[in-house]
Amino acid sequence: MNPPETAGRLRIRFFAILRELTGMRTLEMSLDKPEAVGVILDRLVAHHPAIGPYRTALRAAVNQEYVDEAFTVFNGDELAVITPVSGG
Amino acid sequence: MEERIHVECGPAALAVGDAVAFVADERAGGIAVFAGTTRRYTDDLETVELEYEAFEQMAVSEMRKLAVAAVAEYSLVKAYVAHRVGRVAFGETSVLIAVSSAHRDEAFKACRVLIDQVKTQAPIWKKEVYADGSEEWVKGSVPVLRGRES
Repeated sequence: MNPPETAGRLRIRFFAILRELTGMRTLEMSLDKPEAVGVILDRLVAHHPAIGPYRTALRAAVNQEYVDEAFTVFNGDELAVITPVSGG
Repeated sequence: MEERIHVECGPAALAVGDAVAFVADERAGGIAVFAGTTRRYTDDLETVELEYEAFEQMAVSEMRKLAVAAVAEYSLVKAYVAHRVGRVAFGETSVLIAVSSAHRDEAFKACRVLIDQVKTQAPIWKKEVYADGSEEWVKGSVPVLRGRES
């Protein structure tokens, strides 16, 4: 469960190719209202079209747990945008 | 309480001996180890540099979940899971798994499952730099969801 959080802002984290394409490791935004993860990802693509080609293969993690795109995020949450992983 | 699982993700070099020492136990009849090492040549293509980036805190958390599940599923005595980040020289170990169990079958199976799952679930990315100066983040796997759907 994800407790409602009213304080703070949504903190978005980028890694690897997305960090390079956006030129950012983190980005903060204030949400007017809780939003679905998918909505946030679409907004990110709109502001950073370079992410576009990766949109369909993104996995989100909220507060360090993988979630689906209908999962709701609140101000104060941390959203990591994860491209396909390639450790090993 | 005795620590049965060791997980790490960071820049420090990995040593097979450390992993074996951690999982060694009088209750174990076998230890299986997998060390993934950095490969310089893939067919005729030469890589000049390999680098790993991770969401380190979450990688530790994901790898710990995988290890906890493997310990339960295969009745392991102990499990060790480690992944390096940053530049890793050729031939060095980038990922290291070791497990101990009462009998060898469980150790072999658990070791195989753990390395496969670490590669597909942990938020870690590999970048290859080639001899011609080009570089590429290696295409990987989309992590699967395990129970935190909305």
